[in-house]
Amino acid sequence: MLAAIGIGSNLGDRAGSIRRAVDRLRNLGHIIARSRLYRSTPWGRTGQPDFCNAVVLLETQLSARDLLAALQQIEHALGRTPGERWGPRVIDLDILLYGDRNIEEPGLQVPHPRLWERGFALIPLAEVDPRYAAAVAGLPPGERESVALMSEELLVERVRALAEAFLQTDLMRLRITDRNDDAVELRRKHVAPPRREPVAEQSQTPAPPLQLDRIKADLVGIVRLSRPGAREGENVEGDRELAYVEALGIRTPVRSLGGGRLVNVLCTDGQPVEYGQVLFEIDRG
Amino acid sequence: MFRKVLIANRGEIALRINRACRELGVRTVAIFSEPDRNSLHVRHADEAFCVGPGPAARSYLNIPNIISTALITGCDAVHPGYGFLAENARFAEICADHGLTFIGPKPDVIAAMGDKATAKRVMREAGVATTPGTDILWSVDEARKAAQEIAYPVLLKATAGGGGKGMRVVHGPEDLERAYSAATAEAEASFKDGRLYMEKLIVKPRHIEVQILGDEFGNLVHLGERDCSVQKPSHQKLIEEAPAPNLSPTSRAALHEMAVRAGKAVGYSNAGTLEFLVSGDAVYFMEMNTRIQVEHPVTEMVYNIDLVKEQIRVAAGERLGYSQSDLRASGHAIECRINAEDPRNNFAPAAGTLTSVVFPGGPGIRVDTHVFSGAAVPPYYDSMIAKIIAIGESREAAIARMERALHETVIEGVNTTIEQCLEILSSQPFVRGRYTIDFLPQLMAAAADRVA
Repeated sequence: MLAAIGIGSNLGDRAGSIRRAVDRLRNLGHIIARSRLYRSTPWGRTGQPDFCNAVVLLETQLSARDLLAALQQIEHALGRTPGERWGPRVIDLDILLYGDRNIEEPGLQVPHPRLWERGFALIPLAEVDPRYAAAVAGLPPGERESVALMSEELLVERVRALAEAFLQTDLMRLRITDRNDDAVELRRKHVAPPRREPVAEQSQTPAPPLQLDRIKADLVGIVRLSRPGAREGENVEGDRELAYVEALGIRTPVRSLGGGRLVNVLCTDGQPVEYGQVLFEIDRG
Repeated sequence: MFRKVLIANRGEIALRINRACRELGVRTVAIFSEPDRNSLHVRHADEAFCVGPGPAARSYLNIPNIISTALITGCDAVHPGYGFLAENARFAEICADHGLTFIGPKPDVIAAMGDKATAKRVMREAGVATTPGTDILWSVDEARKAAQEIAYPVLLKATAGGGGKGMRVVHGPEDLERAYSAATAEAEASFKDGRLYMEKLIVKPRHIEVQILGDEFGNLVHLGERDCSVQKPSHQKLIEEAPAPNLSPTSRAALHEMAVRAGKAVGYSNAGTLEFLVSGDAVYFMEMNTRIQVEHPVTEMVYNIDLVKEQIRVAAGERLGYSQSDLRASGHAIECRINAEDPRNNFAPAAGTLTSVVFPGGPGIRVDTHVFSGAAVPPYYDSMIAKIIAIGESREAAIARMERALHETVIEGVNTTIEQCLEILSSQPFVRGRYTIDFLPQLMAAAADRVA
């Protein structure tokens, strides 16, 4: 029987709890599909952390009653204790659908009685089973707006959009760095003709793209530029010593690590530098 | 006084040191690893230098980069905080070689107290009670003979050890050989020093420690005791309090007297802590920590003294401004450590981003922390993200205040020890002030049984 299981968590490592729950569902049958992670504001309460929700389609041999018992065991194992403060949940597992059965038993109602009014269940369900897309349109006002993709899923969407935008340009490399110095880099494998429409004013050949390499300090000390010094715009060849970093009486050379055009000198003679500080930028193009 | 101090640490203790320096009018230089670039300790310092990537061995333990930072920024002193390089005698020596004052005791004292077997011998010679035990053991046979003399149960401990690593309980001769090889191997792997010594196992002791503070002119005082018996099975402390509840006046006097005697015997200067095991009226020296401790705020609260400022002052050559008779404790202080870890998953450290953080406030509450809403908890370091300290006119008042404060606290994004601290605060052994180091492991075992 194909069952749809709704998973929710609003306590602790929510996405992690959902992943752990999905891992355990694998023991109950075969997982046909898993929705992305959504976040939703808790029902009827404010001041509670947002819920993280997902829906899994599970092909299982278990009866609905046994499936419910197995889900409760998973809730238990993942640390849900009844009657927690303020009602937040480590993990919440519900049978939304069990084939196309209608079950009305004490403690077990399938389809879930409030499925049709709850965006956090219906929206992920529609993602794994498109037959429910129409039902999403019929949600009560405000329900649809209270549910959105989790930020980590949004990140994947954004990177995908970024990659598409990148392909529309003639850049060779695009590097985006955040405040933590964590970076995403997109690099074109081989030169493709720019897809841009020809524009009259841009008749002259465009400047070749830059392939910037950043030469960083790998220790803390005082930087001393080598003499004669390489100047900005100059071509450096081989593995040229551009500077050295002096620390505790020891001089550690900073080399160009290959040839190229020295685009930027980002340090001055005698300047204190930290670990990882960019000293030179070289265009390898 | 110093012009500029390099703070060789991260997290709440780096902020704590920065605050003390600020109030003394001393400029500060922070060091940080790449993932800590946006940490509060970096923002609050006058200058900050990245000294390496995430793993501590390449950043917060990177002695050449740390010393180089101190030199190029014109520092005249280094405060090591706790952990990392705080009890590294070689680092203290290297500081001195480069004209930097290491804010702590002298390197030879750090070295002597860092070797646990040596520390015990020195203390015994000074007339401080130690647990019956041995010097370094050179063979299993020697261990077997010693165990018979001391009488089982005994404890095998790594002389270079800490944090429960390289330590084994031996209940009888049949377990000795296996325990000996396991402890040696673990100590060898953890500390590159497999040497062991043996101690009598004190059953169900309390862990009580005494704060001492000395200047460089031989003046030395104690600042009372802290009870640190609420410990995880890994021996990490979770809740500390000052003064220790239900401690007999004789035991208290003995602890304080021994701590001062021990400090004077080794010519101790700066802040230090002597850890004791207390069982009934018997008191045994366990080890000495030659640094500021995580739990120093509870002492600060009851003595109304800023220990970190005092560390800096005496390191700068100032005399202690008071003698023992000037010092009086008042009230009762409790500290709860808020760790980013999962109490339900055997305290496994948790890393991630703190999506929402709200700390408590109001009368008698102090929060020492480096985290905020949106802060990252990198996986490389200690899991402690905050210390909440409550002071009250009585122990009952302090407990009530702490419970109130923990209920005000919100930390989302990682699991924390808040719920567990609340459970401890309301448990009978804690409320009555009658608990030993077995208390928390038993409470946890009971909780695990309830879930299973």
